[in-house]
Amino acid sequence: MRRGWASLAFIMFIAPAALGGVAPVIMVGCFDGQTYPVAYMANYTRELVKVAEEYVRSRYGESVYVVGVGDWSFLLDALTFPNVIGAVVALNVREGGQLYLSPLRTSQVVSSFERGLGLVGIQGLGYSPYCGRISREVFPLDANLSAAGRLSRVPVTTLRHTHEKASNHPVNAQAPDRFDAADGMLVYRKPGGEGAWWTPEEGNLTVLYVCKTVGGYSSVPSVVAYEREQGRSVTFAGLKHTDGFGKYEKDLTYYNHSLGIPAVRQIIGESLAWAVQPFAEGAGLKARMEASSAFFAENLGPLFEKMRMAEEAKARQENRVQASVLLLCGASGVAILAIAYLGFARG
Amino acid sequence: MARVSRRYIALVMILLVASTALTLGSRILSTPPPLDILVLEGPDSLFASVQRPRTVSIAVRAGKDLWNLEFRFRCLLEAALPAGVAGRAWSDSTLELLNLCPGVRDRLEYFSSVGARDLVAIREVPVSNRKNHKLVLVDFGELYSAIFPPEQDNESLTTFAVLMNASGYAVAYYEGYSELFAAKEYLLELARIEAGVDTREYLPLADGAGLSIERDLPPFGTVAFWNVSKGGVFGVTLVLKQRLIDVPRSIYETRVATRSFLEVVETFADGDLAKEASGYWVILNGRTEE
Repeated sequence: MRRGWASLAFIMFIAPAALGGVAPVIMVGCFDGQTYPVAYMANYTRELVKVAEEYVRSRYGESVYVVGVGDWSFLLDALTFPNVIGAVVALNVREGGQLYLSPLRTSQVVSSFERGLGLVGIQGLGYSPYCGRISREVFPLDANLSAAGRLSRVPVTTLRHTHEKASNHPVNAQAPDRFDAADGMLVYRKPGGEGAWWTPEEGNLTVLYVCKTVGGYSSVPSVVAYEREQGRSVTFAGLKHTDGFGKYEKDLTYYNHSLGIPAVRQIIGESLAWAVQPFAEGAGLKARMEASSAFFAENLGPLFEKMRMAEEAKARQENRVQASVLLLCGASGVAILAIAYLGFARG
Repeated sequence: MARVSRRYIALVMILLVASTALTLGSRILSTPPPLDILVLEGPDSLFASVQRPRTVSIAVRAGKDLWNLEFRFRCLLEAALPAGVAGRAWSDSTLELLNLCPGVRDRLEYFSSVGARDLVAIREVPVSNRKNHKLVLVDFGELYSAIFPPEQDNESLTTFAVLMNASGYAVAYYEGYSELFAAKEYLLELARIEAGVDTREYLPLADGAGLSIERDLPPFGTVAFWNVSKGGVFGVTLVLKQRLIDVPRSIYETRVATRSFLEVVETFADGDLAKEASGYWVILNGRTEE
């Protein structure tokens, strides 16, 4: 709670002052239907906020602010706001069907991305039955299948996928060539053969990691970087945390998410830093914040003007009443004095 | 004798002047209300098997010249109480209560950061059809209408409310949209907007020159009139459908399947909320409650 108020104070007073009114913001929203007891696992959104803050602030300074969001509808609103330069969004394929994503919202997300929004999408965002166009034009996996991780009861971790580096890119330059992650589910599209994965018609797609543990296939893309017009995104096909199945009494370690693994934190952090880079520093940031200030001034100005007019009308009414009362008091006072003089004092 | 009678006359005249001044003064100070309420009504339940009133209606007469008169409609759907809200009284801790509602907290935090906090309405209001109940209402509708295009009025959640009983306990939580009624294109049978002799009727399947509920109603639930003359009559009437027919599954699940609706109509005269001309109705959804 204290942290929440401190962050509110920061974006209300410090950041706006530094940037002439509006601060650049990165949103983090994880909609994974977390039902686990907090004692067994750290909060997923909070952990991702920490990762985002660590990498973004160390790279671009304190002026970029990271905000955790718990409301799906507001997250979709926020992605269209001009001072929101990036977001990390996790969507569970199990929960995704319950979150409404209309055609209008889909178009808005796609066009915001194309205008310059840095996005990191985890799992369900690349799953086309729930995210449709977004899974092809923003988080380009176009997945329509999902695969549970390999079951391995010895030692105790039960769901696990193995990811191997497929190409070199700023995102994975410092990352290991191979890592394992506890993973409830990985989404994919049936590949045509080794390297014959689905690719979007436009933009520049780079497969950063492939997963070797999706049953029956030698590899499917598990982490992809994508650039399209001014937007950048990194999509993680897996990394869904595993919880909410009601089995924690039997196996405490079943409840885990991959953010405890340093390699995963590093790749997510680097992904966000790369995705928001064009608008998080230098001239890009300055231009974006000037445009944001102009946007809010132009759109909110009439509301403030209306509010001012209402206050003025109220003040005018009060002044009129005060003036009338004063005039009445004065006139009646003079009349009473005159009558008193004529009736009592004179003669 | 003459002096006595002159004093007597002077005393009477002083009393006369003083009483006249008092009468005029009290009339000046008690300014007449800007609006006379002609109709203010809403239903208690909808889509029930028994035929019941299904009209939301507001009509007022301007008591003086106004530069602006607005009816702001909001329709909210009951949702699960946010974690930590149930089980304690919130009479004197509204801000703490709102901080537990993610939808409110996220928006307040963001809009404060861009200097728009003053444009968010937070108020406690009585419930029109529930005795001793009150609502903590948070409305971002005006802000959203300024930022987003008109077609977004039934997309973004803009308004939130917590229903409190007489003891100050939160008994229900609502979130909803700035529109005349939820899923208006499917649930409204008729919408009528009156401005003096000018009456416009909107129908669900209007074609050609007819006015359509989906296409032509004012966006973001705000029906506004400008430069209103004293004595003018203005109103909005919504007639809800008796049955839920032809509502697509996705719309039903996201916009209709709720235990109860909260229908809000707030009237603003020259930018000021006219409390007596505003209504807040908790409407049971017969489809899910029967």
